[in-house]
Amino acid sequence: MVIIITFMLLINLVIFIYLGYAFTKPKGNLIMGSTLPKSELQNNEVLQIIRKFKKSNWIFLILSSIAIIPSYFGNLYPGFAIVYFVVYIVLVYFAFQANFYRYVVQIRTLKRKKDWYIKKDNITYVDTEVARLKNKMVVKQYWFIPTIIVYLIAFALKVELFMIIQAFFTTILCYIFYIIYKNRRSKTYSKNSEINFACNQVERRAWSIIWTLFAFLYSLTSFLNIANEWLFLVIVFLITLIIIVAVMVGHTKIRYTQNKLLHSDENIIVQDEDEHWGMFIYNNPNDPRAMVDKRYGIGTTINFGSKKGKNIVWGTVIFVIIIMVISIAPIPILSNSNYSITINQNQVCINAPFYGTKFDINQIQSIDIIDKIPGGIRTNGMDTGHSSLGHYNINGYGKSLLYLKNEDNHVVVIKLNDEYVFINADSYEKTDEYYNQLKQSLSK
Amino acid sequence: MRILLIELDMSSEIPIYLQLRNQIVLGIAYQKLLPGESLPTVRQMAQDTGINSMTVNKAYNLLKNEGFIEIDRRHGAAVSETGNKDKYYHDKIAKDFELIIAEGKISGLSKSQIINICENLYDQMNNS
Repeated sequence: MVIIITFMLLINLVIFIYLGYAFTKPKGNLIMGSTLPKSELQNNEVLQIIRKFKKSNWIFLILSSIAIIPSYFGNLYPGFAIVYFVVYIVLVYFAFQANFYRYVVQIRTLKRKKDWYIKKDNITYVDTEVARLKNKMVVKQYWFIPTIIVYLIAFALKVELFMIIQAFFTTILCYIFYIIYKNRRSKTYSKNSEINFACNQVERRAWSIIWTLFAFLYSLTSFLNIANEWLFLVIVFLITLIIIVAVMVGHTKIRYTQNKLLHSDENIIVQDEDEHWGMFIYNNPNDPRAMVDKRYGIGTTINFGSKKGKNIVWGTVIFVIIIMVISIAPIPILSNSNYSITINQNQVCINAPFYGTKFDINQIQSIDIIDKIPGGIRTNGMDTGHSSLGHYNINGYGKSLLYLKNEDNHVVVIKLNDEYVFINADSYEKTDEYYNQLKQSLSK
Repeated sequence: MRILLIELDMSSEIPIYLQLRNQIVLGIAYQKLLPGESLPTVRQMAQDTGINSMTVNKAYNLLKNEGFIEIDRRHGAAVSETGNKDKYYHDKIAKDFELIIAEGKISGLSKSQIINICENLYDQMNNS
């Protein structure tokens, strides 16, 4: 846990330092999330605001690093570290954005005072040459071949199937993102087609390389053994770090190349969309795009003004609610329900929500009682802190069905032909009762 | 430098498909699109303008029926080599002129001024 926290903290720091740095660098006419006339990008008052921001960003970084310390004492209170860490991440990201936005507001106030407005219309420009050739700007799909070869080798070496599946899942995600970035709308920067072509190409190429690289690096994890947790963690951390660095390098290169191209061009098209950008939200009903590039930060955000954008937002909200209901709903069911064993004639019937079962008495090979259940992995079941229900894979036993009210209590183990059943109750007496009941019916 | 930049005004009263059609017609007249040159496919155009592909389809079909472009199943849309030489179409253009000249006359343009505008525009299209 300590390692994970330290690593997350490091990654956070790297990301925040980079985002803070990129925020103060102009991209086209955009600086600190605001559109300014080209001639005013080096204005003294603008530079002063940038200096103030840099200072506050360093203070923020130091404070957020100090605030992580309590999560290192997680061992004192179980569960505390995880809760603290989740709350920490959410708050820090929010504060980070809020700090950015404070300076966005300052720049915009200055802009209003100086009347630096740029012509604004609702015209969408499309360069037909770029639109026609944009699919040729990304690296070819063949770049995924090394990834496929890794999987073929993994299959040949008969590594654990689970590891191949988890890596392959990531590869599929990377491929989906590759396709999304390939088909993404091209941008029109200038009335000069060559500039448009070059600006679009550098961006598309960089992102398609990042996705193919990510797919390749992650496919290598299929060779790792999940049992060796340390190695797995270290490798995954390393891959994450390489990808983050690759994204930063790509992002810098895109900005650098585009600035160089646009700097010398007389015919650039500048659209002032500042009024549609809020703290987190882009809301422009005249823009039909559902996803747009972020103004500060890396990646895309949703256009809340478009119909499709609204659908995405509501879809996500509903999805999150469903996931939360599914994951939280079993908890009250589990803690309020009681399991019971009924034996009539030759059948043992275990009553439990969702996972009740029946088996013949002559299927029972042996009955035992153990002090504590060994660890294991859940395959299909529910778990709330100290009670477990459903299908598990228990260390030293294998395929098992669990009906545990209290994991700290002793447990009745029933060995069947093809699996084990573990059952206990809240109290020691009740658990013993189960055991005696089963023993009696077996001896009959 | 030959480049066709399509400009669509999303808050305009004019339907988008008509704006797209007009922009392509202007592009051909100003020789930014040459006969035989390919246009983006319906899908590419829809993705890049952010408008519905049905709208792009409508504009392309209109252009095809008017003889400005040719649509080939394999190679997509391309600017027509011949243009529309149909006599009925020429009659329609004459009729469209009627309304524009009427508006000009009422707002005080003289005959020579109107002819002048027409000449200038025509020359620009030939010289670009």
